[in-house]
Amino acid sequence: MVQQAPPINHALEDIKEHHRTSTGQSHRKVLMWTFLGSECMFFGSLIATFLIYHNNVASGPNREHAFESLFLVSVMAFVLLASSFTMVLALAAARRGDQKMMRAWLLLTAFCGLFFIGSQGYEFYHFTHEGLTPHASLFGASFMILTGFHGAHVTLGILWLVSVAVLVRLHPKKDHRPIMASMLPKFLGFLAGVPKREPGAPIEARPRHRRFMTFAREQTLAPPPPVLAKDASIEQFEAHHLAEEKVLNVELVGLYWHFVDIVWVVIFTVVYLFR
Amino acid sequence: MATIAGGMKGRSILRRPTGTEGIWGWITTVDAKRIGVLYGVTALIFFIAGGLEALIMRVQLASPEQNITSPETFNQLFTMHGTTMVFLVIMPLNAAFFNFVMPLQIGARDVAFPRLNALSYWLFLFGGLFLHVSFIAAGPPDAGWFSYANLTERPFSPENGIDYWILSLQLLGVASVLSSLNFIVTIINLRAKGMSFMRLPVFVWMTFVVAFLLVLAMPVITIGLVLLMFDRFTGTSFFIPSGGGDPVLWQHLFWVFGHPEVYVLILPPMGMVSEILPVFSRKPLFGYKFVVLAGIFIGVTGFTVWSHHMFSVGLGPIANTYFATATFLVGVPTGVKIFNWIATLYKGKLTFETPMLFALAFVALFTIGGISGVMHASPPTDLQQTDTYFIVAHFHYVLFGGAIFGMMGGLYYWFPKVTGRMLNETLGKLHFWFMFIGANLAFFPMHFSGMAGMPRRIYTYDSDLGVGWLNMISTVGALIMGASFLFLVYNILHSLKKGKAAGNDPWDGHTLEWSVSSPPPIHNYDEIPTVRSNRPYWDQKHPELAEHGVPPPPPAPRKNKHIALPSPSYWPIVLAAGMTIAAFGALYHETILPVLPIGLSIAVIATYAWVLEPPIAKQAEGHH
Repeated sequence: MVQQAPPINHALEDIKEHHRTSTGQSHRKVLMWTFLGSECMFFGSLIATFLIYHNNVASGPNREHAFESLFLVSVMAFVLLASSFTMVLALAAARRGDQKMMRAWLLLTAFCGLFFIGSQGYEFYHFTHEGLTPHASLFGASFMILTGFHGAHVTLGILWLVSVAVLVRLHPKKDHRPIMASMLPKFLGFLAGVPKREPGAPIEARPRHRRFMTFAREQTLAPPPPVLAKDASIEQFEAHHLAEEKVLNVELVGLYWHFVDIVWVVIFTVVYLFR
Repeated sequence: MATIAGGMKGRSILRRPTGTEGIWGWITTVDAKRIGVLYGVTALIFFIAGGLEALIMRVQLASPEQNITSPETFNQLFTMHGTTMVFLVIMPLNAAFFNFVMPLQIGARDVAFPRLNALSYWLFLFGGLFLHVSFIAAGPPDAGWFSYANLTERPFSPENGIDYWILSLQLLGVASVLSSLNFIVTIINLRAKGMSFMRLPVFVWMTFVVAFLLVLAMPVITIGLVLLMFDRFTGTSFFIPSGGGDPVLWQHLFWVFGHPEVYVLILPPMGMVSEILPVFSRKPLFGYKFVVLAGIFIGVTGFTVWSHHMFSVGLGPIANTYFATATFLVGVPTGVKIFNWIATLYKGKLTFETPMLFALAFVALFTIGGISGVMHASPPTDLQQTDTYFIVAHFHYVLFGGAIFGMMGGLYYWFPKVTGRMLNETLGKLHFWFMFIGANLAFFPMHFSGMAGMPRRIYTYDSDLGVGWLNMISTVGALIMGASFLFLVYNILHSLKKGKAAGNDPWDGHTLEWSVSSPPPIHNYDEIPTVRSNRPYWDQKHPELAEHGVPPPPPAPRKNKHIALPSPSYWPIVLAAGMTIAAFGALYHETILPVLPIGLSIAVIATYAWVLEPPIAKQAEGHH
């Protein structure tokens, strides 16, 4: 008995060919990594300029005087770095297909960014009053252009995070409730310890700290990526591809956001900590 | 015939454009081949502008103590000539070949991001026009193509010309970073099956290296320009010594970009020559791997030699020694390439069609420029030569004798593929010989006038210097060179209508682009070929000689084959326009009209519209 080979599904093959990439990585991800390489040179040039001019204080305050208290900038750094964590959780939520938590973590990330930008605005205002302006000295000018350029990156990141939170719908048909209506009660309820309303949820009975552990585990465990069956139909293939693209939208803003955070680690060290 | 989605007729504003006909078809196109043609035509028009500027300068310098142009005009002429030739001619001509040839050579249907590709072109066009608006609006920039601080600062250049130069370069910088990112992703991700990196055609390799150079070098000048903008617009003093600034920092920022930039200009023509020489020698390229590795080595080393442009600053013996050594080192891979090209010719069955003539001239003239380059890699020698016509001779041998000759070879070589018609051989050879003789007459005497002490960037010179006759020869050569391009223009216009039909493969080529029709179909390949060597098409034609086994011929295309192509889009040109309007707004920020916010708003709206429209419009999606 000779078994007949199944007929080739040409339409499916055409779609697969359309989406094929030589490396298996999506175009957009390769683009983002290359772009971040380019960004390194932007910040590298600015940091080099700062290092050349940081002793040029002219009539303005010098570094020791300007950075006497590192309290605010340390809090800013902590919040910005913490936002990398919430960003990771947003991506994990997207991978789970959890629309609500994805939005929550993205918006929380954006909120951390807003706190950072607000604090930077206050810091600039404060420095200006102390006489540290772009015109007072080249130390002031190179400091403000370097940190301002970073701040512009954070601002762009906030816009991007909010755009992704609003526009990306992991499940096209569901989740059309406004963000506040769907999100806020769950979040506040969690904080206040109100039991979840879903029937049969076992965590209600547990003490509060156990509930937190369950929540934490739920949020941080990323499931293995869904595998497409070998004999998938066109519809399955396209749905799988679409889902991957949507998660990628979150992953890309995440790559950018982590990069901006890492740059801040360098700026914080070089500008504020080195004496 | 396969069904191709994406090319349906009909158009309406506000709805997604679908037409590929007429002027709207070109404005909304996202097809890399069309964008390549746009780059090529635009660059050739800018080439005429830059060439005329050069001719005016040459006429002024023909004999000593002339006053055809004023010193101020002369400064503007050499600034615009340099900026135009580097940013608006050689780079976009390279981009034209990247766009048209590279996807075909790697077996791709398009670049990875077609709309981004269109955005790069429109930004380049608007950036170039923006620079030229300065002729009418403010008086063009006049501080040289590298615009050394503090000549460019407000006290010394109070007019807007420098501002036009700065903002135009920012637009052009965004354009080239975006297109380079696009090419990198395309080459990494869209190679045909079997097309490993060591089977990429050398031209694709050089595209790849150049794209990385631009992505890493452009940000540095962007920052330099940002600092200069702050100096000029807000009164900081980054490059003003009286305010504590250091003009040498500008030189560093400029040349950290500027030296890789030089390789950005020359590596693609090296790639073209590496394609042309083997085909017209009927031999494989000698030492493929070494040519590729030498190209990579040149690219990497390009970031380590920038201060050899600054020996006369006096950076000290340690810096000078390091940069001299590193610069000598670049000579090694360059020499490797030259010997590989010569070895490719050795015992080949050479034929001397026009592309081959240009490629051979490239090797010869580039070698002359390379040797004079090695001469002023040595600081003591350079101190004698810097800022003289010797340097002018050097970089014109490299950039005209090298880059332009290489790209003219590429133009004659790929013109049949682009248009389906051959360029006329007789006119081509006339063009070549006029250009070859003219270039050598123009640039070779400059070595001597430079050694005799004639400085660069000076509108006239004393008759006692004794270089009048050398300058006269240079001017005659320049006019001959200028005349040679009349042959090219006539040849192109003539051959577009009456040229001999090219057929798929007029040169018996080695690489995949010759396996498809001329001009290629919009989707390039019905079936993506499979690749087994770095001469895939030659192997198909000569299976008995194939070294690595012959790939099976691509299967005949199915009737119901569905190839999805990206749909045309309005948003790239709108986004580019928004950014250009914003640049005008930044220039005239003191006027009442909120031009800057208007431009930025257009850009933001276009960005969101772009993100929200699918790459392939629903209405264009065919049935499976």
